[in-house]
Amino acid sequence: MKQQHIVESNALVVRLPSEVLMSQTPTYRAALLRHMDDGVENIIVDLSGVRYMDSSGLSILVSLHKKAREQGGRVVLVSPNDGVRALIELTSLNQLFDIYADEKSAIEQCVMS
Amino acid sequence: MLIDDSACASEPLKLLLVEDTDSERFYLSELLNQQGFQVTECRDGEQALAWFDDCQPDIVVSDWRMPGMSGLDLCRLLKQKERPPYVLMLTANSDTANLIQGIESGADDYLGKPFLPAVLKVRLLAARRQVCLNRRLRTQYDALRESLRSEYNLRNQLLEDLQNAASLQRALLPAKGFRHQGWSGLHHFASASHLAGDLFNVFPVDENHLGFFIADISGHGTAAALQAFALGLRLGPAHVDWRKQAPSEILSVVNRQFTDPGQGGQFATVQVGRIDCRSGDLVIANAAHPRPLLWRSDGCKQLDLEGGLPLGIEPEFTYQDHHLRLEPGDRLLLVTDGTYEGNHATRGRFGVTNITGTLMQTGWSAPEMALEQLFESILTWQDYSLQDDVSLLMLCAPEAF
Repeated sequence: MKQQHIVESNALVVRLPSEVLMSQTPTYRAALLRHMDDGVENIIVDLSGVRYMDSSGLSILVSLHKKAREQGGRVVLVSPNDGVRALIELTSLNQLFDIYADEKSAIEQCVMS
Repeated sequence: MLIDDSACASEPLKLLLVEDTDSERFYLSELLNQQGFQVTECRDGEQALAWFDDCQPDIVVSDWRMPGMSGLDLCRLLKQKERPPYVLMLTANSDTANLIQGIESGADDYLGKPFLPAVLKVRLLAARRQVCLNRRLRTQYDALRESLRSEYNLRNQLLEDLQNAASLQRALLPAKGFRHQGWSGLHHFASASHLAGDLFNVFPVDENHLGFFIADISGHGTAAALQAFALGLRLGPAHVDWRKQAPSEILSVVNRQFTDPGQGGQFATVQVGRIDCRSGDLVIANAAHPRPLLWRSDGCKQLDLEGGLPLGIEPEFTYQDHHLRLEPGDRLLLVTDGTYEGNHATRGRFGVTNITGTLMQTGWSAPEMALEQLFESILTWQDYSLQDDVSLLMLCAPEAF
């Protein structure tokens, strides 16, 4: 998992790896929630490199959403492939997250908001 | 090289001295006592063997040639013991052939007579180092074995607990051959691990209605299973007034009760419905669960059922009821995503088309057989190595209301 802090929008860009499965989710979740505890308001989750994600992976997004809601921030997603997008839509989580085509658009949106 | 002999620090090493000549035995015994060994003396091999188990010596110093059992034979027998001692063989014949024979019999060292006391002393110093090392290794081995035994017991206990928990989970599933006012419920279920994150049930609400639900908790393992168990109880007729509360209200109530104390981002997709057995009127509410399939004699298709958010995300989310009418003979198939998401390296995803295809191919006349065939096809597709739980619940309307 790669991360990059965008100071002007107080956002963290997170690039998830090609597979997001149950075995890694506690580590990713803990790391990202710690950033939010430390004051990061917005999380931009770049899914462009993710080939496969199961419902445990979705639970990371749900954790981030709940935390962001508490802190007045937001979580946006970038470029999921068809399979991951279908999983997100199947579980209606697309109602919670705005999805952008690339990181640049997502960052601009966070700056504007 | 410094040798850590702390393993031998607590008490003197025990030494069994085997020598048939009295004068030599007294002399050797004195030397060995001076070196700090706790010495037990024997006149021959038979006596040494008889005393060995009581004495439990660390080192045996034995003469080679003795009446009766020779030193070599004694050595071979001692080396077969569970905790064999270090053996130093003494002999008047110190040629090379004897040396080889002595070492091959299992002796650890070999000393020709006559010898200088200083030589015996350094040989026994080496023996002491070897014994101390062996003791240390033995202590570590015993600790490892004990640790392994504890882990093994813990694993067995956990396995037994999991099996008991799985039995409890299965007890929440509906009885085989559910029937109510001519309606019937068929189901198949397989879990991907010991405990499942899927659950479903069908039950009479009152004389003229039946209720049902199906749910899938995110993730796998014990946390998902415990959440499924709690959800199954909360959705059941013992906790919810299914006669008065609409499916959407039931979802809203259970959604507010859904807790995630471990902050693991847990959520559940759920479908809740109630059927009027006299008219076929179905009220159904959906929390992001895969859409059910309606199987009629002329085809099988997924219902267009807009879903709200999964439970466990927005506590105040309002769910919607959908009203449909089932016709006589209709079959409503409720599934979890494990039924069609199952992926095979070469065959790809099973997909909804394979569900409808299998049902249509098996034929309308025998729904039990069709559902069983579908279940087997799903398992076979994944070579019986399930990636997710598989739940199928089919509600069959009577041929006439």
